[in-house]
Amino acid sequence: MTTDETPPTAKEEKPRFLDNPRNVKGILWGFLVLCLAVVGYEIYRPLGGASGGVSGDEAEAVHHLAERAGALEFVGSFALYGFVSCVALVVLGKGLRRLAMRPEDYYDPEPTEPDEPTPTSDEAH
Amino acid sequence: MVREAFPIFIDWGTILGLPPALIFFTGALLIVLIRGRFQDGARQVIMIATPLVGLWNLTSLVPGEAWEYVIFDMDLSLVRVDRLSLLFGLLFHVGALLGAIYALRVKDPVQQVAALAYAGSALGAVFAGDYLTLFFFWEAMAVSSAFLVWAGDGKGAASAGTRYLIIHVASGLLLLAGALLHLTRTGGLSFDYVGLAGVEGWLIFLAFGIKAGFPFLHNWITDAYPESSPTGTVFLSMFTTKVAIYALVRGFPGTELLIYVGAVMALFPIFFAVIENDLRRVLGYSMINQIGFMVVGIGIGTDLALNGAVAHAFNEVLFKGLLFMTMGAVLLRTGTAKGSELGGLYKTMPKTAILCMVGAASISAFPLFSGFVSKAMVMAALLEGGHTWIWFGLLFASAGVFHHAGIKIPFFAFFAHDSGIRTTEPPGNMMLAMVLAAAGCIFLGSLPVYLYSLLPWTVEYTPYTYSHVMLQTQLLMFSALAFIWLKLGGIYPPELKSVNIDVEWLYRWVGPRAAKAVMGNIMFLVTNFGESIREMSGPVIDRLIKPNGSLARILSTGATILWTAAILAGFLILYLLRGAG
Repeated sequence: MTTDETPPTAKEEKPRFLDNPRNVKGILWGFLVLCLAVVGYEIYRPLGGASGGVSGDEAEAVHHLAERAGALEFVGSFALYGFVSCVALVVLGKGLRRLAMRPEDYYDPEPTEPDEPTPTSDEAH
Repeated sequence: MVREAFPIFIDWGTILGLPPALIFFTGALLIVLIRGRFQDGARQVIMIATPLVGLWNLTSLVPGEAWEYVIFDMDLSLVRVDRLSLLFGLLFHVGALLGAIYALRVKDPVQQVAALAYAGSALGAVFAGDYLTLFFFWEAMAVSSAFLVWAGDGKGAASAGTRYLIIHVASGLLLLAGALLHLTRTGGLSFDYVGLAGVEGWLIFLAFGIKAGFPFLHNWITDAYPESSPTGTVFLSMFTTKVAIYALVRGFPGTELLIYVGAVMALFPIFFAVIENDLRRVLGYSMINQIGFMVVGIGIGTDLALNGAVAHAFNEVLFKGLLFMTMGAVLLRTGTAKGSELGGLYKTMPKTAILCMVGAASISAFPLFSGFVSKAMVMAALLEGGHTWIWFGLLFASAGVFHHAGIKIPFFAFFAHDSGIRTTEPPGNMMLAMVLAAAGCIFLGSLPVYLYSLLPWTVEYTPYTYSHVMLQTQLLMFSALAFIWLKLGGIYPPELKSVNIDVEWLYRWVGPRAAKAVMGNIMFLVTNFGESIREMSGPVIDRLIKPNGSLARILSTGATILWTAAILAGFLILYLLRGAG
């Protein structure tokens, strides 16, 4: 692979917008407000039959699902499902790491490589 | 008349165009032949021109046409044109073109030949009308693509490429055994529905399953893809697994087992993806997850579900290709694609960062991006079919995709903590390929009618309804909120230099050690008790090889095929254990 430009070396640079923790915090608060606004809109206009009617339409299907399962009928139910799913994913993923994590050179150990420090143990945390 | 006179006979039929594979093989051959002062430039022209000529040729193929040939009384079909093969034909031409633009600066003729031959083989496979022709292209795909794995710079590329080749040759072997059994049972080889009724069905199913990355057969994806070169991985991600999806749509539509296989595929990789450090391997796991959605669709087997499966395969080539391109650009510029080493690259690679986020939004199925309009068809088909629990499972997987591919990849590469790496954007050709792929993702996501009009089955489906948009937006936004909460709370697992053991542990760690131990014991026995073993085994061997003994019996064709396949498979396994050890 050839490249035409050589990467510049690290140099003194002006701090970026995202380097300021206050700006990052502002973005995150803004995002939280947006999340709540989206759920709020569902109160104003509920999911389900209101827009359904097209064959193969998910709106229709979700409506049937709500009737059948009696679940996910409340406002923000899919928001909750997304949030809980991701927390569960990460918690279970951390458990998996305890079982599955090995040093980087696990399959091809090369003892004479001092610049590649390996993880200390099978445990992540 | 002619047919009876010669054992090999080709019926040119009414086809006006050429077999799509032929154009790519010709391109590959030209690259081999060209020598001289302008060879680099000429090869670049061939790399770009081949898919363009192929696209032009594709316009002259009309559904219903076939290019048939006969070998020893077997009716075979080199080219079968219908809406399904045309859709994948178009997809692979677009993929090959994007890959060629991305890899334009690669001057290694081995990679160029491998890439064109690989794309050509994939096209040959999707236009094949019988299982024997499919087998030929299936193995050609395995061999040509292995060269792309070997093209990787890292020290693991050689052994990963060998493992990759062994696994794919084994898949071809299963396909051949299944195809020949199919021929003896049914008298035909037509590449159509075979189902799981007989042994031949299971053999073919397994062959397709290896290439599709079924659970326990999936590790070649996460093993080989991160080891290939930045450009090689882009090609690899586009063809093999999509050919497998195509083959499953042909051979096993409506096979209920696939619903459960697909659901497992959609679910388990997301856990590995969350803890994986190599971002190209994360994409490998996320590829298995996406294929899971397609496999579920094939298992449901309704028109809506099958349309969803192939539409999602179409979209995945673009968005996964785009994501692999952005990670390839990062690897090229920084020398690593590991989350633990990266971070803060948005400062010097802002355009790549934005393009990566377009790919991330597409794979996460955000409204207006391509994943949204295709994944939803499979989800809707699940509910229509009454598979509510699987639907809930895939909804979980959808949130998980956003978590590991949508957020983790862009976040740890381009944001997170500043790694101090200062670099530049990738060269213009790479940027162009990424921009084109990103434009495709947005175009297909925003105007799905163009994709839908290409789909093989006629179904009315409207992705943009209030409920669907609202459901998906809530799911994804709160997944992101969970990520933020987990990250700020210090719960999110940090990127660590590590590997995670998976099923491959059995053949990369346990197998070689077990084989070594067994061989050691055998050698010990032979050295110390050789004479007595010979005396004891004499009568047994006598019984096997005497007239009417077990080894002297005449086997049926089917049994011979199975035994041949088994012996070859045994040899491959031994080689795998030796190679990995």
